[in-house]
Amino acid sequence: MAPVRPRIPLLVLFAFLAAAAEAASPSPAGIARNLAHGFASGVYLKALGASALRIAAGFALAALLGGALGILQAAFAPVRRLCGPLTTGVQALPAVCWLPVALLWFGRSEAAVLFCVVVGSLFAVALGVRDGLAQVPPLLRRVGQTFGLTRWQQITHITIPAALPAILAGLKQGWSFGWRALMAGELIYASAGLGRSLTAGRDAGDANQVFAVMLLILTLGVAVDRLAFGVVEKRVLARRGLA
Amino acid sequence: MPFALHDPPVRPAALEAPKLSLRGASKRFGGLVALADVSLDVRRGEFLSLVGPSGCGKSTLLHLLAGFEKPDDGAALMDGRPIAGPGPDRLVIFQDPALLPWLTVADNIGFGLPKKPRELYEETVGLLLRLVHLEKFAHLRPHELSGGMKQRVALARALAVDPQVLLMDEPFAALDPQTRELLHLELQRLWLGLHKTVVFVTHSVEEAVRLSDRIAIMATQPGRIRRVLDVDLPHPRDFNSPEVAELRAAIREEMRDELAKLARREGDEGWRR
Repeated sequence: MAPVRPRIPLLVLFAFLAAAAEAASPSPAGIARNLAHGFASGVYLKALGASALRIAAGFALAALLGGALGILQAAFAPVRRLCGPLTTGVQALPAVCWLPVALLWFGRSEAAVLFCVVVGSLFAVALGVRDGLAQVPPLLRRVGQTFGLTRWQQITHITIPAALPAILAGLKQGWSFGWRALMAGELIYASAGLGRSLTAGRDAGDANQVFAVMLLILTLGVAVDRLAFGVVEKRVLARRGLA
Repeated sequence: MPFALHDPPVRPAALEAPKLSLRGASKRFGGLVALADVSLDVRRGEFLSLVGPSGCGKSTLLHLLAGFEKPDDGAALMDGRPIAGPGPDRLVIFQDPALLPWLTVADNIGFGLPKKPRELYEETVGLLLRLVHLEKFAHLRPHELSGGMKQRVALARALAVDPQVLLMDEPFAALDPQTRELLHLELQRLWLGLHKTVVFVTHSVEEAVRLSDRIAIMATQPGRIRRVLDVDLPHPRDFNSPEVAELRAAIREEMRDELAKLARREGDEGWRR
């Protein structure tokens, strides 16, 4: 039996693998080139803008709803008993798990992505607000009482400032969950956005683009975390001698 | 009813009327009788201390006067009217200074003051800062202060709203002896100058003897008042004088009984367990 000598197919396979490897392995220079090109053409700015708009809208809505949910739970024991464990549980659910629900209810649409962001971030905000309000030291409430504060003054002068660190922590966590949810959502559907650019890079087999966009996502995430939340949180904590 | 007829107020009686009083007041928490049928008058402008072993209900008594709690039976009165709830006419100072950590020393002191007009607010806070010798620390936050300084801020914050009564719940118990000594002098100076009615809860006999016009010794289980002693000694008091020593010993003797009772009871319960 003559031995099979598949020399030529093997060569083809090697060539193919080499090409694939080059496409799949990014280089610093390649990433830089991609970024420069992307910004020069305005594609990345547009993507950044679209994602920023979505996260802003989604997070604002989540802060509003989550804040309301947290306040209701802190203020009314029956609501707390009813929604408390659920809030804690759902908060632990990765936002990606909401994607199928979003697609089912809203189809491949802008609303589906927004839905993901809102549910991804809302429960972390609610938890922060609830626990912050619930954990105001009873002694500080007594101080308010002995000074004869009205119910409303008690809330504005004692409860909210005392709960502020926890509320901020909740908002910060909610933001980062929302940001992740947005990226997941944009992978599925988006007319423009960083997640969309990521998919485009994959479809084009362009590793440099994929990594370049990842870098952008990371940078924006860290920037908001540090610059927006970090600065406010540091000020609030430093005042109270907590940082 | 502007034309309703009233008996004219009888001035001497009104002057002698107690500032605060408990009339047969009882308080239970679940099965525990914290206070049983306590009657006590606090005279206008006096410094009254409540001493007694832990669990004798002295804090509960103070909370009835503060309006944090309502008596189950009997009544808690101020100027003859039932105490409906807490309020700035009876300011409470706690063992923990309970300052607001997000406010500066100055704004903590001004907590109970109207913020407008601004000049008046700042002037009043400035006066109070000087009163408790903290003018150099006006812009610090509570976490930057020592325990004694914090309690002085709490005192100034209370005095700011010009309360008729100060209710002090072991305010110096957490301080070191030297700081406590300083605050005794400070409180005494303020009390002698401002003529507030003070009810002062403490477990320190020294503290009570040093500061008080009268000392109510409390008994445990159920909490009640065992005896009220007058302290007719001039201020400031010399701790080495025979009168002070005698009084201290007498109170200790009274309290020893109570402590022995408490120890027996705890021993009993321990044995039963």
